Amino acid sequence: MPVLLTVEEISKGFPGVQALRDVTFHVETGTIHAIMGENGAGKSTLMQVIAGALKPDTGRLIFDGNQLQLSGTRDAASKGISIVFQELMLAPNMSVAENIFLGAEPRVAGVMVDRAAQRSQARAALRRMGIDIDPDIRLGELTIAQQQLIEICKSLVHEPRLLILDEPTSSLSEADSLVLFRVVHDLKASGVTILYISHRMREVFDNCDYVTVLRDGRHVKTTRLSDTDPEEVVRLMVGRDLAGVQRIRPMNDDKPVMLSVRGLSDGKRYHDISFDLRAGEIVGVAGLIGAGRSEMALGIFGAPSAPRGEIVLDGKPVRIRKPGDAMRLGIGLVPEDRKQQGLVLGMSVGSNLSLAALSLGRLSNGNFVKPIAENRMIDGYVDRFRVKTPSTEQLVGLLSGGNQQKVVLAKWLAAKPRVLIVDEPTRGVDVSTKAEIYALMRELARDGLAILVISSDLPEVLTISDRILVMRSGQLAGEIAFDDASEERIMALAALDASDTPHPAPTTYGEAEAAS
Amino acid sequence: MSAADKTAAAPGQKSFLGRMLRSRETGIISALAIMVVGLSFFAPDFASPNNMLNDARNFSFVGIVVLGQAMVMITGGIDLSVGSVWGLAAVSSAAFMNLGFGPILGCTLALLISAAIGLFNGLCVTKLRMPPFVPTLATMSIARALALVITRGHSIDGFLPDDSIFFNLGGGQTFGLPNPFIVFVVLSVIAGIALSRTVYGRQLYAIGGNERAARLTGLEVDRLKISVYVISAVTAGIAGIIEVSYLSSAISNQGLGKELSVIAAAVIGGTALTGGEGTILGVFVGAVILEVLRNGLVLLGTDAYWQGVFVGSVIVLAVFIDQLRKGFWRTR
Repeated sequence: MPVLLTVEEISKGFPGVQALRDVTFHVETGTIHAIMGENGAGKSTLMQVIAGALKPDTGRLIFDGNQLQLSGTRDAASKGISIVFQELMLAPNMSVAENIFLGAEPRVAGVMVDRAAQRSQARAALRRMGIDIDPDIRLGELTIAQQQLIEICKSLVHEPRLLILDEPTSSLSEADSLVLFRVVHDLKASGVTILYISHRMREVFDNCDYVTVLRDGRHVKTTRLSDTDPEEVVRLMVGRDLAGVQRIRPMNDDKPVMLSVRGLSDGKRYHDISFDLRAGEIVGVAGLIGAGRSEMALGIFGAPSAPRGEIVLDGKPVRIRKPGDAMRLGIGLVPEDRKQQGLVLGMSVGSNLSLAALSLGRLSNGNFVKPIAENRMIDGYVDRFRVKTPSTEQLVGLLSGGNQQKVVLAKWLAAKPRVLIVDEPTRGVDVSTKAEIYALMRELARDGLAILVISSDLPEVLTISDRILVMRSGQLAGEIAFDDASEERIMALAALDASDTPHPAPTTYGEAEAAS
Repeated sequence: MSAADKTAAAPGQKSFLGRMLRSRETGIISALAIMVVGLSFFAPDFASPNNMLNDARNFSFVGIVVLGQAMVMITGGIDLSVGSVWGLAAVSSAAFMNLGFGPILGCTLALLISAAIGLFNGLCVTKLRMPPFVPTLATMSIARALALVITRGHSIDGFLPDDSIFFNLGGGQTFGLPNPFIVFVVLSVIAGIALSRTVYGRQLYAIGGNERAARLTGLEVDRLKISVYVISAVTAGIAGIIEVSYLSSAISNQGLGKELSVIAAAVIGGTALTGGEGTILGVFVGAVILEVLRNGLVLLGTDAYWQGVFVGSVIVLAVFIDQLRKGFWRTR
């Protein structure tokens, strides 16, 4: 099979960090090639080098037989290499067509945008991807999943031969991911080679042909996925076997109900939600993106509070009007988006960690912060959670995603809650940190904390939960006990229509070759 | 600055020297030191005790207002009304005293009027979700107009007997230092402690850094934001009253255009317009730099018409250096 791209002894260093060391591997034409590795393994740096966003210190790239000298992403795009970054880079206030052709607008007389051509070309591009979206609609009105598809559509304007997708599914639910993969398989069938970065093991095994594993900036292995298995890939990524991510049967003693929610409803995003949460229990909340899970959680937390419904905490009915009320009652919420909602990125690790405890009046004498008590508390949590940071003075924005997530968790535990709601505990977090976070949550539950975990990652919900609540379009679709839990059951409840859709079968290599 | 950058690039360095070099204030403090040394050399009058004390009085007025402005800016806001509130507080205090209210009651009422304007700004920003620019632009116009309404374009003077203790506030000295300067230093210490040592201060930085996260951490974001607009307006009022005491008369255009000097001093002092960053030490030095620059240019015999060019350049330069420092952090 012809080789499209050869990465040859690429090294790249930043002040203080050697991000890539002598990375060498081949990418074959017309394949979906996964790049895996823990956070900080150098995946994103490597992709940016290939896409022309960064210049390597040493080494070279050979694309289609020619050595590449890239001056930037625009240059790379003109040579047939496009990248879709993890964070959406779209303008929500502009139309779909305008977004697709941003910077590459069809023109009349060199200056005027040819709106008619733009619209019809956008419609054609969307149709080619098999997406039914009106090009005139404002981008902001689309779901995240649809926006993600628009982002890919935009990158296809330059008709790339190599398309790099950097964690496109990290903010998508399983059902939405299926749509994305259908598009990816279509692209592959039309001869586009795809470099695919992901943390989701199953997704990679279901859809990709090859995998390249990086660890600490070094190339570990490139292999066909048919010649390996998830356990081996994890081992290659972390350099050791992972323990403690098996399911653990809950002890079925009768623990007291800590939180009881009755008929919670905001009239729009969630309706008539009722459930109990016992002390020491971890209950998962599964569902599709947009099913109203996060909104329901925020409703319990008072941000904003649910207009209808009743919340009973430890046997006493309570009124929660704002987050401060919830916190004083002992409810904590680790929000979905750590950068937007969880952390103050410009503040230090320590100040972030103590913020919740401080606003509850702990660690202070009157209004004055008690620096010694604060530092002791911060150091304690940094040690216990094994937060990797040079010092507690480090800006939290400079930590890796997994360590940031640990800081958010620690911040909430420092507030000493009785009920902790965790929304997407491990989004964008590498495997070994994931395992650490699961272990931590188990330990906290053993100590009597009642934990509600919202997650779009099915294996995660299955692994961590004692039982699972499933939400569908704002309502509780059902509850699954520990012994009955399976991905199929969850999907059946979460999306009746899409319940039994399997991932598209990986195309065989013979077909891929024929297509290219 | 390059030495500071190198130190910043070494992670986890905890030595005192390292911290000092890394701190954002080091740059402007050394800039101030260079200015002072240079001016003393090229314009010997600059270093004379008389000139120094005069400068100390002059920068104190703007300096007091910068303290409040810095707190607003740390929460991610801006207060354009300070110059007009300054003027309104000045003429209303004089007018109250003219009515025979006495200095204490007259000044208290003037400060209450200032606080009310700050409260209005704060309520518009929080409850009505207006961008801070809008209500403070409106009150900038309103307060200035009210000052004109009170004075009808005339100056208010002779409102107290010449030997009144009130005139000591702006014109007198204590321990050989001008009283406005002492007020400035005392307020700076209070503001400095509030920002760096209290829960309140920590919460202001959190709001400016990420308001959504602050709200979800249970902070009373609205109440905190209202408080900084009130504080800002009150500091403007204090400056206006001290100036009345110093001038022993009040006119409606006191504090005119001062909002620009105040914001300039805050920015030179390292306060970020985007919120979440800034220190009292920084803005204190920023206010001093602004006055030393003005005074220095006069003493060096520079054409007065050119002054604005220098001030503008210093603002851009100060922020540019700060960006360089942060840029180094980002790539690390």
